[in-house]
Amino acid sequence: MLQAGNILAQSSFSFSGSNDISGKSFNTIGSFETTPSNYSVTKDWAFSLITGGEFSDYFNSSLYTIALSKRLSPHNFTLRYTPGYQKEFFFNSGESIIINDSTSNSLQASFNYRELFGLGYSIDLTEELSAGFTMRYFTQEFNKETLTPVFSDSVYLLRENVNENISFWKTDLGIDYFLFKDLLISLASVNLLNFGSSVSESEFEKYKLKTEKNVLLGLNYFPASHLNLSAYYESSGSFQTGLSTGFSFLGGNLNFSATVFHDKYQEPFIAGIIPSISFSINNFGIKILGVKYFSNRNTSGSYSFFDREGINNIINNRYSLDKAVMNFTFALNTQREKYLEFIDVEIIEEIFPTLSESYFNKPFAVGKVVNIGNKQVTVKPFSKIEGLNESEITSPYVSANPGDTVRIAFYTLIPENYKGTKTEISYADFFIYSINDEPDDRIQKAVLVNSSNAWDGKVSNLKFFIKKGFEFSIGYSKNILSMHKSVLDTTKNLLLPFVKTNILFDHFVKELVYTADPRASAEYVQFPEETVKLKGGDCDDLSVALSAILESAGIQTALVDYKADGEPRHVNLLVNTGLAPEYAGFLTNNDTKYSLRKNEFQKDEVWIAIETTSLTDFNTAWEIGSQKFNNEALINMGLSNGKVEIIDVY
Amino acid sequence: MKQVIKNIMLMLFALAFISGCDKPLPTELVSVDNGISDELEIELIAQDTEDELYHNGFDTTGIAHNPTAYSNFITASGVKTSGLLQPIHASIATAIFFDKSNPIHTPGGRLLGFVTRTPGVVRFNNHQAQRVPYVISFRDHGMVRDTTLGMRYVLSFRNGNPHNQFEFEYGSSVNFKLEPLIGTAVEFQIPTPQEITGSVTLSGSRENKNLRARLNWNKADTAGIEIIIGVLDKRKNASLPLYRIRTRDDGELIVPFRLLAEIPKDKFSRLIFTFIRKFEFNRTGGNVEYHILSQSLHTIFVDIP
Repeated sequence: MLQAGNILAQSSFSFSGSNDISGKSFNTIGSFETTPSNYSVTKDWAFSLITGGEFSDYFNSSLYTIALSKRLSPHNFTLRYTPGYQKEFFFNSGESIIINDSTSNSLQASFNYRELFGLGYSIDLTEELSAGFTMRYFTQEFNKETLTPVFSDSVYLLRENVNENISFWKTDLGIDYFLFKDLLISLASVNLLNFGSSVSESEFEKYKLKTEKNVLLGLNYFPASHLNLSAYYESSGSFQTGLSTGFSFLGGNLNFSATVFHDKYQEPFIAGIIPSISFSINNFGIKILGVKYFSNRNTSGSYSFFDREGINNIINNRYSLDKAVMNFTFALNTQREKYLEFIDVEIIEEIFPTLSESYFNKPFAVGKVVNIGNKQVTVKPFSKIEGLNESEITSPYVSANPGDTVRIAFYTLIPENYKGTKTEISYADFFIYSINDEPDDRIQKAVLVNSSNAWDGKVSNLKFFIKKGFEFSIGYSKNILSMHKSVLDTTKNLLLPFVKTNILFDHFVKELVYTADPRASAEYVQFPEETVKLKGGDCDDLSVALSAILESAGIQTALVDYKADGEPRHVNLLVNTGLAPEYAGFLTNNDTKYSLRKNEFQKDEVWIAIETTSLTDFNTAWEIGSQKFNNEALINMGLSNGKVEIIDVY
Repeated sequence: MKQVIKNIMLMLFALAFISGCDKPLPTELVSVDNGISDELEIELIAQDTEDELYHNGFDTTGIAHNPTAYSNFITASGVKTSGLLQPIHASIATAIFFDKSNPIHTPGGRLLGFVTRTPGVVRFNNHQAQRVPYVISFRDHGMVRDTTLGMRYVLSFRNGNPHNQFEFEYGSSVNFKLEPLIGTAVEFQIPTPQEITGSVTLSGSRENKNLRARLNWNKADTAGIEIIIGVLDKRKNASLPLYRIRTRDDGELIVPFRLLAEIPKDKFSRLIFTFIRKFEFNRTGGNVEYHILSQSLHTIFVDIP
């Protein structure tokens, strides 16, 4: 929150006006002096106390204001008690009496001006426009000694005390309007409608508080996130201008501002300066400001000026003293302060539980969130998918300036042991937190959660099924290989991957048959265990199962995705024999039955293609697989034109 | 850290609340214009409304002096009167010399004055002043009595008098010369003030207790003027000065309305305002100190509304 020393110099002078970067202030709840509607920043209850003192020969402290504000959105109500808004003058009345001994005795007078309390109302008409009014109650007490002649047989002058108290209500209207996001315009009346009692002693008429009608125009410009320039002009000719800036400090906001003002009723042209420093954190705010006049001020003044000009303002006039003021503000929120609001959340991915790892770096939903508060906050997004997540899953935090709309990416985590057998519509709850323990906003969206066997059709994602079948595959491959221990023991090491592949494949296909997907309308992939148990599957299932078995035996595999036009896509396997090219002759003299791929050390290795749907024997599967790979990937340049893709499992 | 900050703020709040119990300091307004501390200084002149004899030194022209306070008293006055059938313009110069060792009292023991002396020939602007009896009246046991303190020197001429020898020149000076029977003559110039011309605007009425009098005059840069407010007694057709007001020579005065509102109309028919701009000072000549009064007076009669 950025605050400006928004204390006006004229009839609109106040001790509490402060703007933050949204143009509305947390600290202005006790201030009616600027636009009447400017305290509408209050979220719920707010309490403000302004105290301070004047500098003369000593520091004389006063309690200036106690204010209470309540918001019943979009309505705002404020009550203000101002015991320190008073100014007393005492002086010789301008008359003296010569008594018998020729000595002169001056007659005394004292006038006391007070603003006792006020009430205000404002309403937020739109996001950009608010309007309101204030009513403030003033009293004026005139006390004067005077001489009254009494005629009888003799004449004598009676020294009498004449006292008169009058009061009036001051009513004003005002509006605040954000013409642009960074430009706030304020317009308010000054002394629009005043009504109350009048003086019966006409000699006091000229001493009444001057209530010249004026219009106040204010501009607040926010050229940068931590800079506020303000200017206020009264039709009387008085004006003020100020600058404020600030930064984050100890979890709150520390702000500095300086305002200079010209008051047509005071000298010199720039009558004074108001420096201020403020700090706000959570629901607390404190502001310390000074009022330094550029003319000499003391506790005596010119009677003739007062007699001629009177005063226009109780707390800021040519007799006002330099001041130091502290402004405390407390938000007593029974309703939690809300900074963030969802605009919408869009589900961009249905959930495939087996593809869990893919959700680590790919959001399943994207939301739009707006900062409706008056300070920069960190958006902390969370989500929870019913039936899938046991707790809320956090997503990366994003910083949002006041008024900004930010894009929030929601990620999710799927439990390793998730076993969903049915595809069903679930609900995802999305939460955004800012500074509170409770979320600022929440929204719920339907999301499709597929069964564990569901596959999104991307061959690259078959590796997640392979990995999930690893536990079963390790036991399966070990068991088979152990049965061929004598063969393996007598095999040269460099041929072991090839021989193991041969053994495992032959054993794997022994009892299997090819069967198409059980659900025609959806991609469905069996885990290796299911394929073995069910004794069959389609190319996806068989490739996944064989890959898992070979990988569990330490044999590197890759999926080959044949994206044939107009036909169902096909998947089979490439198996790394681990042989260098010069040893390929150990396997075959037909160079169309193998291909070379570089390993991680950029050395060529011999890979062979296996058609997993060929469920006769290894050599046949190798033969068919090689032919298909050779034709489609190499001769037809499928690898070059993208119709064939090789996806390494690891 | 937040808790610490919160506690500090709460302590400051409590401290501010407790300490902020005084009210703002009042301002004492003082007036230092022209050295006059008050806008107007009011002196009650007549305490006995039956006493038209001005024991305190006022006469019907509004010329104010109480000569018995001094051993001598020299005056030069330019006098105007408005509101009568015929306006009066007059120049008056007087000189009185008292023998302070020879007081005169009423039978009741009240000091009336001192026996006067005539030390020689007195001239104003080289015109010889006449010696005339200095008669004063006083009331004794309900009876008006006259007595003479001796002789005084008077040189006075009204407007229209073809034998007018003495003209009081405003904003100038009057030459005073005393040619004693024995010794050296004493001569000096008496400065004269700017002419004062006033006007009176009445509003409201006495019955409604809102009688207002706005007095205006040609302002000048002096230390102040005096305004004598008097009344004309219906029955005796005699004027009675009530108040003397000293105020700034700024050209305007609103008379405090209570001073006029209480004047009984059944007894008094007219209000009399006398504007006085004067120089009053002491001057030494021939080892004698002379008390000198030089003044411009304008007296205005108006009916009580």
